[in-house]
Amino acid sequence: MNAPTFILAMLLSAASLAEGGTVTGTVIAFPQKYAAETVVYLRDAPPPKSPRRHRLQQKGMTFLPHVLAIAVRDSVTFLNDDGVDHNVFSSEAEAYNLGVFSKGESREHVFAKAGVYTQQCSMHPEMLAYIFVGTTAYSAVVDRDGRFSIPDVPPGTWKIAIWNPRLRAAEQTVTVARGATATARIDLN
Amino acid sequence: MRALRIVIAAAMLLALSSLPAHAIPAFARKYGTSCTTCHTVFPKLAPFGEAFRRNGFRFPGVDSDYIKQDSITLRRSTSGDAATLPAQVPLAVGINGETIFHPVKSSSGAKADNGASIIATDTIAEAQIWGAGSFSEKTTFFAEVVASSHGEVEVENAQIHFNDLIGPAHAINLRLGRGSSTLSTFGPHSTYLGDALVPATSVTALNGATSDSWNLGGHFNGLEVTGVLAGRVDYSVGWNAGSNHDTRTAEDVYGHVGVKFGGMRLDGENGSRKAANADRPWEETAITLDAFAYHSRSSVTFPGAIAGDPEIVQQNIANTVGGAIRAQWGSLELNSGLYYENHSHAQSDGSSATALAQYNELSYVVLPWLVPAVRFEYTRLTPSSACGGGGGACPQVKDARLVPGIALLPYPNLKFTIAALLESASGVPPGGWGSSGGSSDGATSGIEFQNVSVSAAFAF
Repeated sequence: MNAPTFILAMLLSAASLAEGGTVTGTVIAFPQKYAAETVVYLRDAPPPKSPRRHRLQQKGMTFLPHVLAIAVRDSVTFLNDDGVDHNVFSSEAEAYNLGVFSKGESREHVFAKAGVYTQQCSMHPEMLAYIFVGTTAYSAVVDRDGRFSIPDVPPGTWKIAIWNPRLRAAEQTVTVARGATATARIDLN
Repeated sequence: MRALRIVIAAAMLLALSSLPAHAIPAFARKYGTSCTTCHTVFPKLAPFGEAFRRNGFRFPGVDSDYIKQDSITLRRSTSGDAATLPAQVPLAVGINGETIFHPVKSSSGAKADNGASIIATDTIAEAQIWGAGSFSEKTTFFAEVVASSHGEVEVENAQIHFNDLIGPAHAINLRLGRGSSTLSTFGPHSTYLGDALVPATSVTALNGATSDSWNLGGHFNGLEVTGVLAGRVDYSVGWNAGSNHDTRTAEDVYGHVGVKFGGMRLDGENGSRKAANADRPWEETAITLDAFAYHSRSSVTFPGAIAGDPEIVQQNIANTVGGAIRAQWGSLELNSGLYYENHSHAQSDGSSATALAQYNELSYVVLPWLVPAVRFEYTRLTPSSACGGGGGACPQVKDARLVPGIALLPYPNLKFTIAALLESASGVPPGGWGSSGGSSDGATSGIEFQNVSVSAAFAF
């Protein structure tokens, strides 16, 4: 790579980084343990440019991750990484049952409708996960401390909303500037 | 009269010990999983639960991958088999009992209960405390203390399992401690309507013995080597102290071998088969054949001939052979088996006796919480011709018991069982049929509708 090409590449890269901003914040819940099941999303932000692929693993008779945030037309690969058989089914919206699969086997499902899909295993009824299927590319699952971060958000003012299986929160707006970080505090009740 | 009371008390104890229980929430806590991972209607085990039991209470694959309970590391190991202590005391509690109804007052069962319509004496009959967990990846423990509402307390199980000692996984495991003898490929309580899959025949108790009456289902101190070979053959070889209440070297030994065709591997390891129906994971199409042999010498006590006479203690040698088959087709399952026992000193006068026992249980899992079943048990007791001085003083006696019933599971850890007992007997042994689960007086011909029992069990 010669010097002009390198400089051009650096400029393009910097421009790309500077194109979007970041939305970070904290979700406060009572009890706080419920915060970790929260999805924060920018409700009126644009959808992904193309469908994305995600993965939901079954390991130690647990779905990993417990909550997955995706968008309409995205696909999820369900992988059995256990030594025992598993199943995946959901009763919501486009209900599906992916049958039995053994160690190392996987199944894929493309989500065509927005909504929240509970993921269960008919063979191990204690197993539970949620797939949040939104219309926007900009969403995040909060961590166990209630923190979240949504990167590469286009500049603008967006409605910030949440989904939680038990709690609700008032919708807020957040303004994102190019290359900047906007913060939000969301109280669940 | 005193002897009769003792016999009745012994029969009550044996009858109480037949109350169903045995689902171990300590395991559910350890793995953070539902009872239905291992059971349909507890204590009946699904194929996966049977594999877990056979593997020394370990999951297939890497057991620790599935443990969700916190543990404290007591000693780290470069081999990865660290010594651990459960962070929470690994205990669980169970309660069970049954209420008996006599719809037919003229039945010998109703007469034996003084014509009472409802017998609630054992509505709450037993409490169990279970302990279960791991010392390490390969070494596990299981203990059970049973207390009855009549005041008896017994340590039924206290076992350490040293698993995967030599060779391939699950091939050679050693069990030390106290427990029942492994005489079947399936768990001792793997039944919907009884307590024991293989019903015990306490031959000397049937003949009036008052204590230490050895039977196949007894819990004894000893050691046992078990294993699963190539996923399809399981075996056990054991030695135990038996029912000796004097000091002597026990000579009780036994062995069992089983082979399974079709369905899940006996060790549950993956790769051989996946469940046919995700919504009915207990289903499989398989046949399992079993055979066992048991040699026992036990001390047995008979009451004296009349009140005030000293008790009669004998050394009874029993040799038993038996076999069984389990055929499962989807949710339909048939268990059948029989065994033959030869006892050298099975009666108060020291004469010998033989016993033949046969059992069948047919069940269909309609839903994982609703299982109708029917069980049939047959017991034939044949005293030697020398019994009672000869001349047919001790005739052969037979008892057949038909038990249709249904097991219900409102919650995975709360069970109700409703069952009827229809019985037909020709004759009655000196100790009555109580220790075999019957209540016929042997004098009534034909089939008697003895009772309806409503059992309840819960565990937490």
